[in-house]
Parts: sequence; C-alpha cells; structure tokens
Amino acid sequence: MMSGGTSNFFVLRMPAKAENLGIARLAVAALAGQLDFTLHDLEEIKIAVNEAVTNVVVHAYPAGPGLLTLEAEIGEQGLTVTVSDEGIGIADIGQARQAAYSSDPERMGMGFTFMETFMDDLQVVSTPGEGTTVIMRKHLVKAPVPSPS
Amino acid sequence: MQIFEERAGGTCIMRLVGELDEHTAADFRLRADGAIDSGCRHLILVLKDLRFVDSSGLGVLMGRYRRIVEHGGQVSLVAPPPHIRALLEMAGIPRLMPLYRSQRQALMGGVRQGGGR
Repeated sequence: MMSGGTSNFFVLRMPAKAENLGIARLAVAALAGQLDFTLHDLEEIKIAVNEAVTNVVVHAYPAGPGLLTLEAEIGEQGLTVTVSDEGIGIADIGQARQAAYSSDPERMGMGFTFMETFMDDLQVVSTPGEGTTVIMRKHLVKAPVPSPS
Repeated sequence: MQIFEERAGGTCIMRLVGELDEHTAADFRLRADGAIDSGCRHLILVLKDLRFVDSSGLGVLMGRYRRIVEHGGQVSLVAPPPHIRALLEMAGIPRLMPLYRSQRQALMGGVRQGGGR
C-alpha cells in the first residue's frame, strides 16, 4: 500500500484540550500539502479538522480529561481524516448535525455544517458511552487539461 | 492570539492578530466584555491580521454582538482576509455586522465594503 508516490499518513494521539487544536489543523494541512491541494482547499481542510477536534474538546469528556486520536491519510484519491474519541458519544447524530443546533447561546452550532461544506464526504459513527468517530474525505480535483482547438 | 485595543470616544477598536479558535475565544470574550463593561457602545474589530477563525470564534463574536446591540450599539468588522470573509458570509454575519475596508471608514460609518470582492 505504501508504495511511495503520494501515499502517506500519520496517527496522533493527544489530550482533548483546546491548546491542541493548532497542532491538529497544522498537522493535517501539512500532510494535505503534499498533494496538489490549493491554498483555498487547505484553509477549508483546516477548518473542517478544527471543528471535528473542537467537538471532542467541548463535548466528549464532560467528566474530565480524555484523549483523542487524529489520523490523516493521503493517496491518489485525496485526503481522509479520522477523528475519534472514547467519550460520552452523541445520542442523536441527526440533531447534532443540524445547522444552528447548539445548547449554548455562545455557540453557533455550525461545526458540522462547516465539516459538510468543506469536505466532500462526512461520516459520523457514535455509540453513547463508548465514543464517536468522524471520518471526512476531501477529493483531489485535478485541474482540467485545456483542450486543443 | 494577540489583541490590541484603542479607544475613540464611545467606540472601542480591537485588532485581533493570530488565530481565534476554541482555545483563544475565551480571552477574546473577556477582553471584549471588559471593553463593553467599561462603557464601549460600539465595537470595531480589525480582522486584517486574523489568520484563522472557527465556529467557536464566530459564536463568541455573536455573543458580543448581542450585548452591544442590546445597548443600541453596533459591531463593525474591518478588512477580513478572503477565507475568513467567506466563513463570515456563510454564517450570515455581514447582515448583522457591516464590513469595512479600513478602520477609518468604519469609524466614519461610511462607505461599506460592498458585495463585490
């Protein structure tokens, strides 16, 4: 599988602390930057990763500190990012993914909206009491070759 | 993130430098609430040196907007970089907080940055 070329990946495990948001988004952007993503794409990737990790930081571990795992992989198809935790889980994923859903007036409830908008594919798998995994993909769109004529 | 404050009468000008995320949003909230509590009626946020903002940052921005509007004031935004402006627009924020090209224009309350680029 790792035949060189554009294949690469990393796995990072870290405390679910807001201080680590910068590490998470920069690490993924640095890996994605090995593909031909545009700067605009990289900004979008940073926001999507940031929102997934923020959800873990804010919601996953109300009882105390916990860990999160950030995995990122690039290949010919593009980028896949997986953010997982072993926290309380999400009881109603459909509700959590709705725009402007938030239990806190200081929050926009736009986290999932940004993830959906900026990535091509978003999957959320959660088991209450066991944790949540968010898998996001962004395809690499090759610039069209100008046709002669 | 660094925050630089200036004051012009009842208007507070805050220049945000760096990244506004879940980690730094609390600091911004404290500083902005301090400004509001000390009598700032209007808030001008200079965003030209803001490199990153996320939904946590936008949430805190909306919270401060609600406080300012409650007292009849206005929050204005100055010169967000294009990727940040796109995010603000996605969240519908320019309908509530006008965008200006420069701090001077925001202070005069004139010439808003229009819908174009």
